[in-house]
Amino acid sequence: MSEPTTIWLRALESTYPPPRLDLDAGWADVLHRAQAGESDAATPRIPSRVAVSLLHRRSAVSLPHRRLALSRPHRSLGLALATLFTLLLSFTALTAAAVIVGGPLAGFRDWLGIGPGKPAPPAVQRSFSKANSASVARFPRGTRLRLLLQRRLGGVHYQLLGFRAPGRLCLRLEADGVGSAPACAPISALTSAGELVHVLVAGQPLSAGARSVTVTYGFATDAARRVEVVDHRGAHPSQLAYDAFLYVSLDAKRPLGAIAVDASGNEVPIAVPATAEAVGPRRDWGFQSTPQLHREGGRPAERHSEGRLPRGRQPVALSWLLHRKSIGAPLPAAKVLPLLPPGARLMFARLIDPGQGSPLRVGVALVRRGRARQAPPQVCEVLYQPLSDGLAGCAPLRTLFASHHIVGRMLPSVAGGEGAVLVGLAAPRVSRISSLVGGYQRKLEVSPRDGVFAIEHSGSSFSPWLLVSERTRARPPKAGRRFDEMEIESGRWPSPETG
Amino acid sequence: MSGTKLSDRCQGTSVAAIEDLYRARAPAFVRFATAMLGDAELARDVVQDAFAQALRGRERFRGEGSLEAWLWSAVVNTSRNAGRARAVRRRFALRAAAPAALVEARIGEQSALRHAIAQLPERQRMCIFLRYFADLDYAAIAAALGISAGTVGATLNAAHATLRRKLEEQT
Repeated sequence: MSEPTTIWLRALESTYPPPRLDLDAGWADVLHRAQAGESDAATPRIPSRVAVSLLHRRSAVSLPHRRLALSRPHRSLGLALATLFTLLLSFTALTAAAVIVGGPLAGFRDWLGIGPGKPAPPAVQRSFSKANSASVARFPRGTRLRLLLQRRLGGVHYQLLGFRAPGRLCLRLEADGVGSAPACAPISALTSAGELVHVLVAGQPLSAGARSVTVTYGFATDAARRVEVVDHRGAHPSQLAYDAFLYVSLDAKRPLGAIAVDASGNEVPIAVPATAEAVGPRRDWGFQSTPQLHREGGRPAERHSEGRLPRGRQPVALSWLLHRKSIGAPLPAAKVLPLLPPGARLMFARLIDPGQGSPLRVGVALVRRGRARQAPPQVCEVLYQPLSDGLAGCAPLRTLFASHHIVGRMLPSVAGGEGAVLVGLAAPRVSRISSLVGGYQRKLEVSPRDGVFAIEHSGSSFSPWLLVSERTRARPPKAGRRFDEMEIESGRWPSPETG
Repeated sequence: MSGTKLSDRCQGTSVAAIEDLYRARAPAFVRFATAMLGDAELARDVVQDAFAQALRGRERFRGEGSLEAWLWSAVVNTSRNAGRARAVRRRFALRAAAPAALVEARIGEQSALRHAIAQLPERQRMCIFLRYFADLDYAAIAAALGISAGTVGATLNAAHATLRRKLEEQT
């Protein structure tokens, strides 16, 4: 070996020391992998229509069998225990059946009990729990993921996982072990909509290998037999099992819609969620494209004039913030500062639970921008969604409620698909905010908590109409007076400056 | 299925030959994959997978070159695929991970030489590792990478020059 080669070899030897291997165990593992690969390759492709039932059967027979080696005297005891177990099982099944008929999860049979599918792989569960614990807004501790669907495409292993959170069902996609932000839908919205399929995420772009893929997934009721995703090339069958469906496309284009097929073979068109960038002139799928901001029945010149706040006669907005009271929970500066505009100096910040059993949290911060001591204070609100970074917006405190009684933003859900969150700050007079979507068919109401509100929308194509009610001394307190209303669309409503 | 049963269904010495090579050269294969991927666990997994694939596809080996070169080719391709898959994971993680975590993941603990090698183009890195870890000659490297022996020489020269320059800059 020549001298230069020896030099390089020595350098590399020290940089990459030779590994220590157990060759016997290693070769046994190779044989095992080769055998597993052969059996995978020999498995015939299953037509999608029967895949669901087979999946159920497979999961049933794949449970580990444990033979109980009972001696004769113990057999009668074993039989008695088995009978008792059967009776308990029957009782549980009857109770579950009663719930299925009219319970909160009607139409989502697989989500009863311990949940659908199989337990998530331990590594996936650990990763989720760790990220959840580190997140500002988080799901309850002990949330267990279930593995619903999986597939391999373009060298990437995709796993669709599901879990229950208070009042909602959630899905999370993992690509080669790295999870996306979870996407959730309120159980009430899932069961009351009466739709076969609820598309949660549509055409979410992911980078996979040298090209981009898009993923579409969501929930399907027990009545759905097939879900096809429609794009510019046609309709494509998705994987469907455990009341969930998944479609991964090597095409980077966003799907146009979906088709759900019920047991009778009826095909029902399903609108895919509208995201801010996808709102466009696809009227056939029900998107609304023109942002509007106007009063019902009012002339343009009169917009919001009645809602304007008379200065000097209002209680101080967010007084707890100005007086630095320990409302809500502490919010570490490290969780806020990176999200604020450059040059922002954090004076005080707290984390508010907007209520409604939501995992969302809203950070409210008092900041000054620039080095000047007397720089005018600003209020920043930060929306924290589980397992996701926050999204911040700021506005000068002095003019916070100058034109409206509420101020805030409509932001996409963390998954970037269906759903949006209306989050913002409310003047002290505001007692209730009602959001009407879908031609007044769905109404969501929230009361601000410590001047903060958040409304989660799971509808797909909507342009919410907001009604803001005033706090009055009348009894009962519900007798509020509507004093501000507006129709909004993404990014087109009274919005503070986005940080 | 045990190894005996599997070999019963095989073409005589093929499995035995692959096993012999595994036992003789597994450390070199794993070392190469570790150097390519920068992850010892992933590297072991890659080599195991490559050998499993070689066992399953042993009928495709036509005996035109050496069995070792064919196996190196399998390990090289599996390493490439694993590296690409990991790149996907990293890109995917960009959406979810906090900036600080990403920075930590990128920096890692890298020696000067390791850092310099990591910056080489993939083909140059492969040539370096196959030459020094696998101790393959130019013809075998060419067979493993699917390029000509002349290209191997030129690639190695370019890699050496780049490494020298980078190491001098760092010192």
